[in-house]
Amino acid sequence: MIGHGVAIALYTFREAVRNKILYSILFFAIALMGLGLAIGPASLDQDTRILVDVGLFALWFFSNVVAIFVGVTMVFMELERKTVYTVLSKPVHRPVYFVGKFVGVGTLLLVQVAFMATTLTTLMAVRGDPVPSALFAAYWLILMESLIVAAVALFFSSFSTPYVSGFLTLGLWVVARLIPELQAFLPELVEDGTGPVLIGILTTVVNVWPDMTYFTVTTQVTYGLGVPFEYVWNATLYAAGYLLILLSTGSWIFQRRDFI
Amino acid sequence: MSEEIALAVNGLRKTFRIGFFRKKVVAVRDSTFEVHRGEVFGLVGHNGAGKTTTIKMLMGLIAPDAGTGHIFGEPIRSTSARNRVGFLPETPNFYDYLKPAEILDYYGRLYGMDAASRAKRIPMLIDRVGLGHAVDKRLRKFSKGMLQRIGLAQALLPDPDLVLLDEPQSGLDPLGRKDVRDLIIELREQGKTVMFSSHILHDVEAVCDRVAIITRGLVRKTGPLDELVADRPDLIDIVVSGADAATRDRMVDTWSADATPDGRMHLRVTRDEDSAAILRLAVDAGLRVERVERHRPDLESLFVSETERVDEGESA
Repeated sequence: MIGHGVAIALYTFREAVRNKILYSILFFAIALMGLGLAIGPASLDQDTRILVDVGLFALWFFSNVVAIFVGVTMVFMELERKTVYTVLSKPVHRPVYFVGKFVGVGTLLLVQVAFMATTLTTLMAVRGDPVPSALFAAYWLILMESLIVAAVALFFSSFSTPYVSGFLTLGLWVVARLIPELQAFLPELVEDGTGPVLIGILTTVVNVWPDMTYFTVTTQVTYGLGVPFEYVWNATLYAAGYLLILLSTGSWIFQRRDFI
Repeated sequence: MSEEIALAVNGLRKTFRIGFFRKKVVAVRDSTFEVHRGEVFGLVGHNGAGKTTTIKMLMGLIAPDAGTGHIFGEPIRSTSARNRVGFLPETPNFYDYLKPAEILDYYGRLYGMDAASRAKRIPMLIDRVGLGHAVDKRLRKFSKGMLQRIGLAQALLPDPDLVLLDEPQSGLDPLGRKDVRDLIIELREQGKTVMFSSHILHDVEAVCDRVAIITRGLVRKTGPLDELVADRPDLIDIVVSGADAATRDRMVDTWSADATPDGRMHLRVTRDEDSAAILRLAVDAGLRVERVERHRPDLESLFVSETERVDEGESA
């Protein structure tokens, strides 16, 4: 069973990595980092900070764009083009297939984050800027966030079309980045006498949705505050918990669907 | 269950709900048949008859609403049932960016084949299906016929005991269709069991030991072709030319004659008195009798009469 999962992940990665659209996205990410490097001198001795800010933004944004794009299209394309028939007619368990797809997408994200991280770190090193250890924590946490986004995209694509999946994933991602604001806003809504239904929905969202701001440590990196190992470890466990829930539920749905 | 039965299907049923109002569409009402070990079995039906849905249920791609199926004694829903099966879906598609050897390596791993077996069988199968010239091409550059060939190669990859082919000749040119026929015969000679669906009756007739006729989701008849047509009368084909409009109308009304653009009339009857009446009419009207031929009923005539019988039954 593990062999099946490894094969599915390997060939998912191999197929995805040959898609030229990904290279275009990567090009834009590197171009944005270059822009950070170019506009740095316009600031008052803040060029390192701008490079890190813009670089981490590019890394974060484009990793999640790829996570949504690949996560949404990967399973759907298999269904649309019916390639899934030749895979699931083999002695393969459907949950293994679903998780294998995720591992393939995750490997792609790992390689992409590693490539962009190497580019940013190299740029800083060449300029003679100090490379803080917190920067590596930031890279890792961006990867964790994009893995959750990819798992959400795969989860939705297990039962809906890419447009709906993409829209839902994007919506969930945006809401997930607003969790602290929603948390702060809730008591005010209660005080203002907002209806119990809306309060109930928002309370559920705040408690159930992943708080993606947990994975952003750009401020700590740019101000040299450091990111404790314990924080990174807890954030990793937090991500693992959500991945477990999303992949289990997605596999459960996938197990029950007909491939017409 | 006896090992002599490669595939046993009993009362499989599937209903889909389609559209906004979730309208019920019965795709397969009752699919019941057995495929014996070592035989070539044809599942025959027109488009939309339920062939592909039946095959997808056998391969675990669709869950049946009712009924059972066993492959070499294993329930069709268990993954282990698929260990001994090679499957070619209808108009197969593969991953655009992979090459033939890569896609076969992937499927080989999914079958649990070790590296040595994959290394031995993959080049052999690429040659066997005639794709030796395209090993360096990515699959997105393959024609429909070439994809069908790679589909056949992946179905044969684990050297399966049962080969299930859904419309294997679809998209192939005459030479490709002959290759598939030869391949099926070769598999039978190797002792493999082959089941394939088709609406190309000539191909089915050429290679199948037994057939099942499926119409409107129901398997109507199953058995060796000779037995299925044994109790059916001979067919008499008559071709005449030179008929005027009134004679043509009479032939169409009385014997359901088909007129061709060149003015000839094709008539097919089963009773001697009908053939005698047609010939009498031809002589009286001064028509030219071009052909009179008596032959045993074939799969096409059986299939057409079964379909017409069902249509009449359902419209009555």
